[in-house]
Amino acid sequence: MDRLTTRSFLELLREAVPDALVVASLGRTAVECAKAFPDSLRLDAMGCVTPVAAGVALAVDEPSFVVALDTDGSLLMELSALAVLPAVLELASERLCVVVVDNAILEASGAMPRAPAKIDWVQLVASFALRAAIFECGSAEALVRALRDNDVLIATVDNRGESEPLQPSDVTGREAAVRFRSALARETGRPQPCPAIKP
Amino acid sequence: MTPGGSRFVSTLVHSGVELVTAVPDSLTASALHDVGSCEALTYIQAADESSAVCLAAGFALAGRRSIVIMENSGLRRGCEALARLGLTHGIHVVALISYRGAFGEANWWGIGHHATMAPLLDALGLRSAEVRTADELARRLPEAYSMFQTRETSVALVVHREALDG
Repeated sequence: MDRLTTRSFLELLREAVPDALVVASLGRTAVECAKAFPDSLRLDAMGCVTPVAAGVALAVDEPSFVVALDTDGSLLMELSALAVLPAVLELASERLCVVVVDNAILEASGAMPRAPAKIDWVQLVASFALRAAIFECGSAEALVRALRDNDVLIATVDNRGESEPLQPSDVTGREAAVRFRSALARETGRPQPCPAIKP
Repeated sequence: MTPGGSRFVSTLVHSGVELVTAVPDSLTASALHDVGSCEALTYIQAADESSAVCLAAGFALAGRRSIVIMENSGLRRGCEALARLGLTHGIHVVALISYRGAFGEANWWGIGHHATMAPLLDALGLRSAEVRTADELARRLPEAYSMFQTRETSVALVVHREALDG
């Protein structure tokens, strides 16, 4: 495999952690995530992905595993999300990994280059006392190891060869949330509280 | 002895709260210190209100009770998260918001916090109630979770200093 695309990375992620609870960002990441992890929570909320996933990780028990499938643009929008991760990981390090799909462009907004173009992600993440690595290619086994050995994994992707235009999602944000709640209830064995008191 | 040694912590625990996320301010600092000392509560301090809201929201998705605690000025920092999660995804939170700029406010910087609070609560679709005493907080918090449990709205308790005492 020469280079990763968002699609090939999501296929690899599914192979690596098929039962993961995934909270994902928007755009192409959401489109491919919907195929790989149909019950994932695709958030139309840049900056919210990592901290929402961290909250989920605090709520579940092992062996549940939560992936925050963030993107470079989304994480940059709310870098303070990194500031809560050390405290969260102190309680849930075996249940959470943040994956940042880094295409270095704002693809859903017309493929404008990201500003700044060059970011030393590993150094940035390490400054929050978090373990980070770049994942550019490799097997599912290698990805499992990388997820296990790091708090934040930067998946470098290049979608320039993708010929299919992005299709709008046929699942609304509310529907995605309902599906994810149901998946969480199945995973944890904890039913959702009843939303009414009158029969 | 109440959990964590304070009335406030006892109210949280008896309401079934398990996770507290917060950006402390001078009104909530003492209460949050007690929260951090309580073994029955998980306390995560955030650097900004957006992260605090998101953490609480993620935890609550699993059917467990969380609360986000912030100053009312934090509504402005938390706007995007509250709007995207609440209005776009129907993912809600229970918030306890300290009331800076309430009538009698003696700090110049607190006055503007009052001016933006009510319009933001309304615009973001948070149902809210003002809470003036610890007794009232003990009564209102279970009501807040009853309403939150409908999955139709976020709920905010706007608390005066006296409600956090004791």
